[in-house]
Amino acid sequence: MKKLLSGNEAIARGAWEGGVRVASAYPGTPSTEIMENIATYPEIYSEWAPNEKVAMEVALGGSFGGARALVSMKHVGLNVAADPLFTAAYTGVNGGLVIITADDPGMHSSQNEQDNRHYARAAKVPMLDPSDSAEAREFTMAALDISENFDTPVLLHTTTRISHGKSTVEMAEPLPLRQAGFQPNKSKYVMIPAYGKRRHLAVEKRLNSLAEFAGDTALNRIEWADTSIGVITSGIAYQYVKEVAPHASVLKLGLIWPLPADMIKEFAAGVDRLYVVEELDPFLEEQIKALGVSVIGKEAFPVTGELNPELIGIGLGLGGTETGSVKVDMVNTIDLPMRAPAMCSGCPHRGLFYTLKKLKLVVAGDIGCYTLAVGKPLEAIDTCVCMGASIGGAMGMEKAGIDGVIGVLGDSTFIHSGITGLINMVYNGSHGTVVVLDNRITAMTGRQQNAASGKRISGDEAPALDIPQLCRALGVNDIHVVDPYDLQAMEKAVRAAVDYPGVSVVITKRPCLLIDKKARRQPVRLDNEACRGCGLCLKLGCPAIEKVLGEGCKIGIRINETLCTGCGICTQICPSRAIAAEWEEKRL
Amino acid sequence: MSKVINITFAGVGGQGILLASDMTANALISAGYDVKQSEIHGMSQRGGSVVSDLRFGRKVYSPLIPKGETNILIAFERLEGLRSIPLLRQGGIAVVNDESILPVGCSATDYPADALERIAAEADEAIIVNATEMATRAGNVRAANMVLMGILSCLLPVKEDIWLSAIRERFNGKISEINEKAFNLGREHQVMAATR
Repeated sequence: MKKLLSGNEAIARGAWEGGVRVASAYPGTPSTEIMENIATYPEIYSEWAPNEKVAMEVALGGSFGGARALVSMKHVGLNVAADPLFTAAYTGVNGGLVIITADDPGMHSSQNEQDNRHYARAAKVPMLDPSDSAEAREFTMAALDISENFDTPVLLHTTTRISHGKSTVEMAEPLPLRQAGFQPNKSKYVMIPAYGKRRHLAVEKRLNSLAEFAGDTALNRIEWADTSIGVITSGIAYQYVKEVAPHASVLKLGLIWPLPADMIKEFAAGVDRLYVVEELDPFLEEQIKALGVSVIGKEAFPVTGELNPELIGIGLGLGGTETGSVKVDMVNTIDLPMRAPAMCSGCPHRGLFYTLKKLKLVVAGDIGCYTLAVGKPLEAIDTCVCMGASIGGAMGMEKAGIDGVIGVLGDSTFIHSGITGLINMVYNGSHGTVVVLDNRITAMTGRQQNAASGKRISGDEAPALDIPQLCRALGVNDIHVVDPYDLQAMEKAVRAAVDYPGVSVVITKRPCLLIDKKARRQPVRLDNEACRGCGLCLKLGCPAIEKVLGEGCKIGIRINETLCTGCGICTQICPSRAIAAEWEEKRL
Repeated sequence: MSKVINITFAGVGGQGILLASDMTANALISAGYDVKQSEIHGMSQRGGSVVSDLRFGRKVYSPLIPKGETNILIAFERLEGLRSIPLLRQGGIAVVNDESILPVGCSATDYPADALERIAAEADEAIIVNATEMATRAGNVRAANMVLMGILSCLLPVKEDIWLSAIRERFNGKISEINEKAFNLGREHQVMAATR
């Protein structure tokens, strides 16, 4: 059967057809839909882990137990999971283990643009690089076979365009299941130095066998055509090369580590001019040059951002696409107003950032929807580095002598990497404050359950992590739980926490409005006559508060009733009390 | 080079752009074409611009449409339509929903009031419709995407019954009826425009 699938859907399909039985992940764009789709196959145990390190360990344990296993994450997630990865390379596997790293060239939704192909070389494990959805499915299954045949974890590398791009996939029935079972083997699975040294030898030997395999496997192939121009490429870049230079000879690499040295030399010898086309770093280029092969690479193609057909056409000296008749840049669209992403109307986070800005605090931010508070008009975030860095960062600034620093992060991020930072604050005598924006969900990536949600990936009920109780257990004595829709209570709690001579935690507790639609209330009403036109409500950056022409109040403010959820934050900050909430009136 | 037709869907998050793109892709697959689609989600979920590239032909390589190669632009909103005009190739068609959605934090004075005129001036062929109003007539304002898909269906080599079965497969009961009605309103609009 043929179907249009995204790369992520195709990976999930490949996992199911390939007999994966244990799968774990932490959400992260562009990888999230892999586990969401795996969860639709009841035969596979799937879960959201608290972070990528735990997810990797669960998958490795599944493999030790004889099950085929999969773990998926975004590129920066592999930094978190790198510790188990590097030693899993030594232990090898029992059931096949595939590790998916979804990179984000162009940083559509990431804090950096790291090229995770380097992990394959650094950890000494093979890496596959699919170029469309059909290959995403096929390579997932191939990775499981390679894993078992060579006793190694296998990395599968995707990028945003592969993960989120859709193309047709031919599907099949699942393979017969592998028999699970754990065979104790201490010198393989217990990595003490004595055993580890022996395993390192095995790893080096394995890399040699894999390099030989790279020359034989159909994953790598030469497409001979016009030999005046030859291109070595892989992944999405392969499609762009075929688009702009259908006449060129191509060495298409599916297995990008280790590389097929002889095949590369044979291809180089058969063409007049040799290019390597790859996104981000000169990963292939440096290895090819180390073989003594002369190749044109990053001098012709950018090292930052995504590639696209035009960039490749220019780099290959073809001057854009071959179809011509381009009408580019006839209209000046640069002056058009941008449509930047913003926090949703009714978002429980909005009021907190308004308050933090009002109190002129230095805000160490973190990764989540709330990072959007850096934009206009709130502009209330001062740092954002990685998951959990708000807490360590706030602590470090405090020790550097900076006053009024506050760390802010969401529930999922706190569980992922914030808890250890908070332990450090208590242990090392911080006087700082941490705000946990507890909306009961991992919202930014599209609302995935977490340990505080009370639900699992399956939708089944689960114990919900009690965050105040956890903080108490860590030794935090000053804990405030507030409703973020109550601005007065929130400001009071933040002020008290900042003044407290010890570690404080403020938990703003209200579910993401997108998971609790019943919490939506009647839209607020703006009394155009009562409004004095100060424009303070516009400082909230609420999508429902619009500035229009010829209607609304005297400065043209109007409440968009379709968007307004009646959260009432604007009613609390309006100095002329011109905005009223129906539910508020009823309460009075 | 075998001929590949490029369609760009552009609008604002929440307008049902990706659904329309998906359903069009599936209709084209049913009609026997190779199809590739590329879109970005993530930050775009929060009221940002959404663009989906759809390409079909005998064999499609790149999922991204080369800049200035779009044959048909389906714009769900005026400003996003204007923003996407440079993507059109010569002889390309722009189908634009006559609706404006103010970007968050943008004052009405910054919103290009002449967006439609500029689109009409730049595109070789512009089809301007009030899909939002037609969807309301069909029974639900959110079916504007189906109105636009109805217009698009007249421009593509896919038989009507394939589109209709795609709608019936995707939606159930009353919702399916409304969407089918919206689709037909779009289709009729285009047929009438073509015969004028």
